[in-house]
Amino acid sequence: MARFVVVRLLAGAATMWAVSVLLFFGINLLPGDPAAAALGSSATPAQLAQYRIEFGLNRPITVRYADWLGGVLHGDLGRSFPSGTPVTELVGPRIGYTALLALLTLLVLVPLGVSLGVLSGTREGGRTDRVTSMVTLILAATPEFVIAAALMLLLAVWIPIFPRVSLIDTGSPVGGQLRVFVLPALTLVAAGAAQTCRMIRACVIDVLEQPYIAMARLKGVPERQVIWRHALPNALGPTLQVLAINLGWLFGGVVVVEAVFEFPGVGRALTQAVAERDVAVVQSLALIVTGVFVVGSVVADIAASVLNPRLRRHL
Amino acid sequence: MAPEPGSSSATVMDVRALEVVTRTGRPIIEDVALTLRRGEVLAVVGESGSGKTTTALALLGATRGGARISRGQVDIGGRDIAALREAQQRALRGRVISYVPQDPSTQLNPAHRIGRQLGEALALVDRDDEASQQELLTRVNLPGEAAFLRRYPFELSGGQQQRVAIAMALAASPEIIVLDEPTTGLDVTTQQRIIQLVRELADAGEAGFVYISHDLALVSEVADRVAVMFRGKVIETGTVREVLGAPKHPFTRILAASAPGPHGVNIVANEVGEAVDVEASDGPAEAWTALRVEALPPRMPVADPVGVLEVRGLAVSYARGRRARNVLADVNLTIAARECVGLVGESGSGKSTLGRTIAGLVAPTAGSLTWAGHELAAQVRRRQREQVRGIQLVYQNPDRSLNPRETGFEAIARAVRSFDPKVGAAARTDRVHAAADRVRLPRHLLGRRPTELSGGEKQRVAIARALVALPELLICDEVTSALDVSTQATIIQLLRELSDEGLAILYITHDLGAVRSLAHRIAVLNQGEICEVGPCEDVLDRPQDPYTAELIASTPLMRV
Repeated sequence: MARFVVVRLLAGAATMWAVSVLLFFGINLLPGDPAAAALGSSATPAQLAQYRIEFGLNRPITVRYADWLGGVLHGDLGRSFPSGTPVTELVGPRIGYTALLALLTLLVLVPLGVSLGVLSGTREGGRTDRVTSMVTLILAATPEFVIAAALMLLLAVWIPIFPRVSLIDTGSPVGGQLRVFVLPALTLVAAGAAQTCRMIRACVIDVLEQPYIAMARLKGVPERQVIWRHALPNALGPTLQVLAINLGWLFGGVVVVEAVFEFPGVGRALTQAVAERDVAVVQSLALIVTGVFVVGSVVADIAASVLNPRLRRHL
Repeated sequence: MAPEPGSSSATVMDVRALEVVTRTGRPIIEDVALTLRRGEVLAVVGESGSGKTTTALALLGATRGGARISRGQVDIGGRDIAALREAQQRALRGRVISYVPQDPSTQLNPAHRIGRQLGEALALVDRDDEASQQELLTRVNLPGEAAFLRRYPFELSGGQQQRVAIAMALAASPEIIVLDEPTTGLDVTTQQRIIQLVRELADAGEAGFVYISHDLALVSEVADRVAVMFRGKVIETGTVREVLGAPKHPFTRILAASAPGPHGVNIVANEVGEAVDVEASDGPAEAWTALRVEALPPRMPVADPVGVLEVRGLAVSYARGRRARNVLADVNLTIAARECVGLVGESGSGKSTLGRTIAGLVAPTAGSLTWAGHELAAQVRRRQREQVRGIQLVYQNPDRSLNPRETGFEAIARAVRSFDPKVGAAARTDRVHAAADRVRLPRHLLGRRPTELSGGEKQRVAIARALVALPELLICDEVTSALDVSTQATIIQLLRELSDEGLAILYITHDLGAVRSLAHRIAVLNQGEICEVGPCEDVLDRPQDPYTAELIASTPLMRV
């Protein structure tokens, strides 16, 4: 067991390292000169050279990689190329907002998706299942921006209870501005819960077809206990993996929703930085998003193995 | 506990006119009537598809796959369970009637400890404490220790799992316990211990037992009364002596006479002496009266044996380092051309591993394989095409080894193509037909998919697929274990014919009777080592090794 955890953690670290290599070299091999992008077309060759020296761009790429990786390991993400501001200062608040949005979304999405999935999985083919399946299929097939626009129209325009755009006042504490998180979070819940529910429904149906469930019923165990004690613990492992995928998606893949609500999150920061050739910000954000994904799946793997006694004993 | 006077004869279950129909209304069982008394073991026997398991489940008010109980009564505990609602049925299950499944390895919840699974059953009568759990374990001859209760199902052997399942069934002291083929898939020695346990519990008046089985010899050892099922109906009921000693129905007569034992396999033959597959024949029952049962005579050892396969010092272990487990150790075995060698042993003895190693599917850790005078590479993909062609393997369960989407023709034709890519379409069809004829599979069945074939027909497709490679050695890994008795006999007769035609066969099985009727020589494998090799008659009649003797003693014998 301990060995499995160590191996899994090492594999996670190795993935992160490989991602850092791909990111750094990939981004630096892209056409486009960060110095020219930062200083504009009127810059003289001398100014460009000066800029490159200041940001260390004249050094060999391997040295720059080692330098960057060393900094990352110490919590220093380097400086933004156009402005020279430390990257941590630029992206820190963005990550905070995105984390808060992801947290709020998951607080609703997990109970909703899991309970709907279990509900329809245990009533496969019944009315509840058919209705849930239809609704979730429609929601899963609807583009996120359509859901976002519909919610905005409903809850910000017709019944104006939430702000139409999610502008955050950086001066005052976020705790008092939770209202601006509501519409983006609802959009993400609608988009994410549909898929979560469908995957959990499939896990539950699969487990309910196992012979030991039939045996529990023949043993005289009440149905509620069959579901909660016999079926769900065995369906939980795959469910955790689904939730880990959700977490990664919420952290890096919600650009469209952020754009609709003008929410200052990681996704928009990332697209903005790409447009500005802000290499330092792009690689830092990409690394952080990957990190959340990797940590999420490592935790889910370990949790699943803890839940599975066979793995627990043999690993 | 000793049976109270009078209580042993109390009727605990009365089934009348029970009918179960499929979703489309087709009856699976019809007009089934059974009675069971306390302290009695009632066996329900029949071939696969006769409705045994459907009957077993219906006794608990349960059905499978959309089927439903459409008529009849199952009176237990003073109520008709068939007429109750699901929740009320469940209240009777465990407390009044309980169930022991065929394959406990898939029926025990893999995520729950043994103690918890027993506790759940004990909770039905509010006795869920550790002392009761331990006491329950000792009743089924398992160690009543706290450590055992903390184990998970996968940490137990098959026999222990089945004991736990029986313990669960006993937990709430029900009046009726239904055992559905409880020892199929277990070793003969384990099987012997389980049926002894059932007999002891019945004799102690603990409950009445319904024992579902296809094995008449086994039934004759454990049951008081027998009900014979045939095509969804009970055709005969009575004491073991009445039914098996003097069967009235022609089907029962065939079933009783063809029961295999350590003395060999019996063939059900028609007027012209052809082996008949009872499962696949769907004529009127009267046709059975014309059938007779013949024992397959034992075979003489091959004259002038010339070794074609030499296994020398073979060892196989799974995993490495601390967890390494030796599956085979220093195995030496020679198979001569035209010879059939029976390889017997209990599950876990390594007999399948030996077959797979010879076929090149498992890499040995030591030792060598020689084929026709040349060294054989360990892995099948390193072997020469000619060597791969010469050694073919057939698996136990054709449901798993055949692709469900492929017809028999496609499966066999694909094998032709893979060994002879240049053969034309017409020649390929001829080769497929020749292979089908050789395994006596009617050509019109070649267009069917596995689900449309009987068990014996599927196994014939699997054997034909191996034979199109024109092998010199056929490795048969428990190819008859999943089949009905009469079907087993037809496949064994087929293998005998192939063997007489000059095919060398390594026949892997736990069935000593089959080996006696098929093999020239027999090798006994015990925990990865060959403990005895010799001509069939010598080994089976005068075993030198105590393990062989125990195997033979544990094989059920028809006693009426």
